[in-house]
Amino acid sequence: MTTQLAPRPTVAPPPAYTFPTPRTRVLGNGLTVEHFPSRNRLITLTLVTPAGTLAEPAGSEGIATVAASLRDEGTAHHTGEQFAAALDRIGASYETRVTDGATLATLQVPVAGLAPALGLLAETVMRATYPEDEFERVRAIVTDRANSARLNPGMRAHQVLHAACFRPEDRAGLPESGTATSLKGLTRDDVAAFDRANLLPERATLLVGGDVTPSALDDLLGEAFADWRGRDRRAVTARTADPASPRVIVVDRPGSVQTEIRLGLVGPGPSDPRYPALRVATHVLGGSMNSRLSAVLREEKGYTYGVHGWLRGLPGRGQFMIATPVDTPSTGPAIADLVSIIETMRADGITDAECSGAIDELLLGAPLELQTAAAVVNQRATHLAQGLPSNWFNEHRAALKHISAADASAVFAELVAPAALCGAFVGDAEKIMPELEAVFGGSAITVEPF
Amino acid sequence: MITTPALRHQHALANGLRVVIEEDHDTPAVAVNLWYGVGSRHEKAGRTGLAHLFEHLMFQGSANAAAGEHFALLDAIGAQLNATTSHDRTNYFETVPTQGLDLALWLEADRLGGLLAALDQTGLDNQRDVVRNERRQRMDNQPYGTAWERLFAATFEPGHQYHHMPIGSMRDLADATLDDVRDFFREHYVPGNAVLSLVGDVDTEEALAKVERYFGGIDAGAMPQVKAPQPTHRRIPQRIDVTDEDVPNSAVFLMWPVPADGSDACDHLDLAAQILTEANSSRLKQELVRRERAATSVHGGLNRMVGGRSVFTVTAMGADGVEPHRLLELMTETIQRLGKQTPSEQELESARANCEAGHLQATQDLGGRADSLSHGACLFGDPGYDEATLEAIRTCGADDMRRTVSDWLDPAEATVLTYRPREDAAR
Repeated sequence: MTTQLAPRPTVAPPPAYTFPTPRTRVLGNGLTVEHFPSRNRLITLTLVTPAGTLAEPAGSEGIATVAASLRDEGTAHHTGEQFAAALDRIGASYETRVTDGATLATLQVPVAGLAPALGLLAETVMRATYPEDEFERVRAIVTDRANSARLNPGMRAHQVLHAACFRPEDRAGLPESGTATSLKGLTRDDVAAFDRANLLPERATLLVGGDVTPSALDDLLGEAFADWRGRDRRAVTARTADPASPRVIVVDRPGSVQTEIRLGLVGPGPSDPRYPALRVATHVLGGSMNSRLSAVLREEKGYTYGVHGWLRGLPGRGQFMIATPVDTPSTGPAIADLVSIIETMRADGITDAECSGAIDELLLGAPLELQTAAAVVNQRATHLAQGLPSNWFNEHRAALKHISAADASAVFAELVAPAALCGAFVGDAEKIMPELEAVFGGSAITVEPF
Repeated sequence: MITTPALRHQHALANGLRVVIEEDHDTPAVAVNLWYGVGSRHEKAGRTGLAHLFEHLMFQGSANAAAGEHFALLDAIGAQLNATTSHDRTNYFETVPTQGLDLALWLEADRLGGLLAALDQTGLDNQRDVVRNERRQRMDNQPYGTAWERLFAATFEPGHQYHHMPIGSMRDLADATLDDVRDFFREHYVPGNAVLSLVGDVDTEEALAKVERYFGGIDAGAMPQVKAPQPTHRRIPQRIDVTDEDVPNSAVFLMWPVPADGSDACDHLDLAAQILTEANSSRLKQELVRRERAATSVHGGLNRMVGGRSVFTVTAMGADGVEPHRLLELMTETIQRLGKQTPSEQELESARANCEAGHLQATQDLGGRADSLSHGACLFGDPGYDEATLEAIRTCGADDMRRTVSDWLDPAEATVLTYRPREDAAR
């Protein structure tokens, strides 16, 4: 085959992007509504309420997940089955998600169904009845899912890393949906009380994205949410503690053909002045297909299908994370490479080209990632869940532009020492322990059964 | 509908490349989406996994782009990019800022026109290892991870084009040679076997001129021989009971070979999928998850394929302590009932509403719309195929749907795959 190819083109700088400013209203009952208008015919509604896992009482882990899951399983007007059928009549989807800092309830619906959709969403917050029988059923499902997550190598590795990074008294060290023991201890009344204390209009934000006019939306919101009063006003407390000392946990899963590797440490949160620089350095390390980690572990050595490094935002703090599954025989060499790449980056820093490349990637990707109303709403919801102010994202982007290679290198060297990293490994202990001991020292490693 | 067919244009270059362009100026970005009419069903015996392994090699450099540069250049402008391989086709896609359109087209043209110039043993050996790890990560190291592979292998006879999965077997991956890869490229990667869709912030005439500039110089080559759909006979229904894997709970997977994409039956089965598993109030959710509390979730639906058959699946993940036979019994009853009694107009209307919402969901961004256009144009010669499907779903009658379920989803004819946790499994 013969080919005449045009010369390689250059790319002009794309236009600057600003995260949209929502039209914000506060209803008479204190409910904040942020509306992101767009031409999207699929409307996204997300209600953010401030209690997430960190607000769960000790021993009641999973209560937020069970509570949120029960909101549509029985209301004053619908049984759970009827509620599901009402969603189907308008082509809607509904789901709840609990994060560290919030509970998010998201309803998506084609625009024609917006009025009934708002009515249904309002029903979940104002008229949920938390029936005892449904509580038992939902708790059983949440327990089964928690068990399935524990028995999934990748998810287990994540859980174990959190257990290593956070102290036992810190809620962030336990699985999001709780444990079989904590779930077993819940009662229907506790769950209902927890959710009612979370469902207060003056502490909630309703995010709306999509093709609806302001006046039409305002009318519909008035009808649906004006009567929401809430009850049981209690302070939301966060159960956190200082980070744990670094440790390494191995979960023995005999016969594993891969080792799920997680490394991490608790570090600065999104509001911390060091966060933008650490984000740039972390992106150079593990944020793309050509990152330092991926270039070696995947593209040079083929140890893995993917390796990623990123910063996880939590309210008031953050978590530096590296994740990769590698084939069992490559476990030792992969860990040696991980440690050596981190050491090299600490010692030599990142280059100017890497720094500006990472900043471009982070900044230029946003308008593409945030094309849809759903993505915009989700981004804003994530910020709310982390307790970040409405201007945070644009200010963070502005700060990124000013990060130099020296800034990023210095923050990385200060915060990401291999000796400070916690490690979690799910794999065949008999095969991988000798290599782990060579890196971490035998006495530093705890082994637990799968 | 989001799509505006008035701004949709179709063209073909002299070398056979089909081009679909749709203007949308809401976002300063454009989705570039290429579908090649080659998937795992075009692989030869002993070389399973080659189409997908080849997809990886398309990122390892070409005549004028070094290994890794495809990702590096596009990442640098914030692009979203990837590629996937299925039984029927391989697609490559990137959404780029409008200013990056030339670069994206140039990179795609360089690997279509000049892949062999850069292909070498080092790249092959490396990506073979990466793909073997992809297989371990997605399948071999996952609870229930090989379920789909087992289902396809049991539903389609050895030698059938759908007997194996795109990921291929570890042995065949190990055996693939550089010559296999070169031959595969020469046979399938010609402009006439591809569709290029552009959706976004472009002027149609300008965009077409760019496509001509970058792709017009690629030789037409010889079109691959059309792979005839294989016989549509059914195997004797197979049953597989897995009891020796580390799974947390029982599970039951059912799979049926059903009519190929392009048939009315597929539209009926999309509606049936809503009614059986997908809708919020689907019958299997109501029966298995709510009333009987035998399952924690149910899934399923139609996987549209063009090589003579599609497949339809229904899956139930068992609740703690529930035996597979109990799940199977409940699934069987519910599916049989749908084949016997015509559902109410309300239930069907809800199913239609969910299908429409699903299409809106899938096409809400530029990339999703470009993918839909490529799908229709590549496999059916009609970029509006998905919209036409939706229109057919809107007018499908309840009894037509019931008859298709009765004809094709007889539980006695399904491939049945069950999982039961090992007695000594971790709990």
